[in-house]
Amino acid sequence: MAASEKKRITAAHYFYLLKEEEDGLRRLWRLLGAAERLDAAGAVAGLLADGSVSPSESCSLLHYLPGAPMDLCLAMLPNLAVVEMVQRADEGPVPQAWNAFLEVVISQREHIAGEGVSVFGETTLLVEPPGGEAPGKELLEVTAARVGGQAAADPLLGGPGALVATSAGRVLSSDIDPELAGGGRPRLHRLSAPDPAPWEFYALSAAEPESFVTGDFPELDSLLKELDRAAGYFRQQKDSVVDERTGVDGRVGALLHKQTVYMRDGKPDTSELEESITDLSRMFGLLATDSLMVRRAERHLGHDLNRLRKSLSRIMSGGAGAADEIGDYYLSLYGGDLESIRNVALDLENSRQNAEAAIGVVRTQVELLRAEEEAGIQDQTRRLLGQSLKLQEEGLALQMAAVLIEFVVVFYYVIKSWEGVLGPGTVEELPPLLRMAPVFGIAAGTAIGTHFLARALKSRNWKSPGLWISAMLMVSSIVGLVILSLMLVGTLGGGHWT
Amino acid sequence: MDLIELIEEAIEDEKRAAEKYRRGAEMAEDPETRSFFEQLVTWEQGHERVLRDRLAALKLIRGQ
Repeated sequence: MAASEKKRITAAHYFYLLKEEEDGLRRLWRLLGAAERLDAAGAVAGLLADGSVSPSESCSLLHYLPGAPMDLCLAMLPNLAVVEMVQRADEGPVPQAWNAFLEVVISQREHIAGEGVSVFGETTLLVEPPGGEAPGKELLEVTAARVGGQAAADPLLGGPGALVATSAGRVLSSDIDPELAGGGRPRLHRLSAPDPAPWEFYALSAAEPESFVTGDFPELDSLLKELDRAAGYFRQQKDSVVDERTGVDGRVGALLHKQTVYMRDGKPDTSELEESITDLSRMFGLLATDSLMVRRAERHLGHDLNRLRKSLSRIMSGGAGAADEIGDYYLSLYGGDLESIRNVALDLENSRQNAEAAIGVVRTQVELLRAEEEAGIQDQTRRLLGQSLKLQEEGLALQMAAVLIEFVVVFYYVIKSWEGVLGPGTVEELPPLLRMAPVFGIAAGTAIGTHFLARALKSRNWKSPGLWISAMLMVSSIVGLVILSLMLVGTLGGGHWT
Repeated sequence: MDLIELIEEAIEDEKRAAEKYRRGAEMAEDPETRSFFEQLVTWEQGHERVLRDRLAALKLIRGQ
């Protein structure tokens, strides 16, 4: 086939898969390739030799044979991989080609579903020659015939006329940059499929659709699919997050009310308050986790929305009078989701702060109660100390009395014993002061020594100076008494005292 | 020659070409020549990226 016999693209179907689904991608590629009787070597050879097609650079791998009705393209996008099934036709009625293509798509989808390949999303793009303002009347007629005719009961397409009914009501159209899809006024139309849509439908009116169909469109469409998945996931999570937050708000309010009633009507139990703190801390943790999840969703959706804005500004026409209903629709839809995420994040932050404040309030109550308990204990300790002091004072008085009694008793018995030993009237020969001194020393040493001895026994400390001084006083007094006695009986010189 | 080997060889060719043009840009004495070589470097890097993408896709499909 000569390069001049260039075939027009009439339709394309896109299977998006996660890049990690390598096995699924391989199976899908082989299934579609086998269906079109293509093999890798032949396909590349065909492409190299033919030169009749000029796919986008993003088409990393291509199955193309000049005689085959379809060719396949594998493009690796930032987060997804896409297998593009592209139909080409010679000159002829386009509606017939679309009809045939839709037949093939439905049959291939059934085949793929039977093989268990997990597809992230799908889109069909029907291509018509330029000139139509809205999707061509013929296009709608074809889809009506397809859906309302052979596939009337096809659950994938949602029943007779569903596609057309919604399409007629809500077709979104955007002007594409003429440099991407040929001159004139290339336009992209988004057809509303039944809800929930089994896959999405677009129509393109363009003079040179090749590069747009195999490159720019799947790039934009994959981004919309990622956004749809992320926003859908968030919408699912949002209800449970809002429910959790409302529940936590209610429980925080109830707990605070309970504490207020406690403080007004009587003293609550400290352990009960500590349980409240544990409860509140758990709620705080729950809110913090939710908050983290929502913030992450906000970043993710915000980032993807920026990517969408960039992609739209590159692909869509910025010329005078150009419209971008598709871009406006999706930016508004996902912009609304982002706004909703931000509101949820804000509410969560407020609830988190409330829970934190409630923890502070209950903790303060616990501290106050503990301070009261401590004050009570201190009061008790003070009273006990007072009692102990009193007992000590009483003990001291009794001790003093005992010392005095001991002194008197010892004094009396020492002097009587001395007089008894030396005989009647002998001791009286001594001057009263000299007579009293040794007796006083022995009595005082004994009384004081007993006190210090008791203390030494109790503390097991024998180095007490009081003990030794009293012992020395007693010993020296005894020695003095013996010397005086000996002097009195004349053994030591028989001195006369008067 | 196997297709994968062919693409790997082509990637090496692109790298060598880019390196040659980079040296040309360094040696260029006037801004116009330097700018010309720099543009060639960018082109060769683009070719290399396209080839790498295709190599990755081919390896993925072949399960290598």
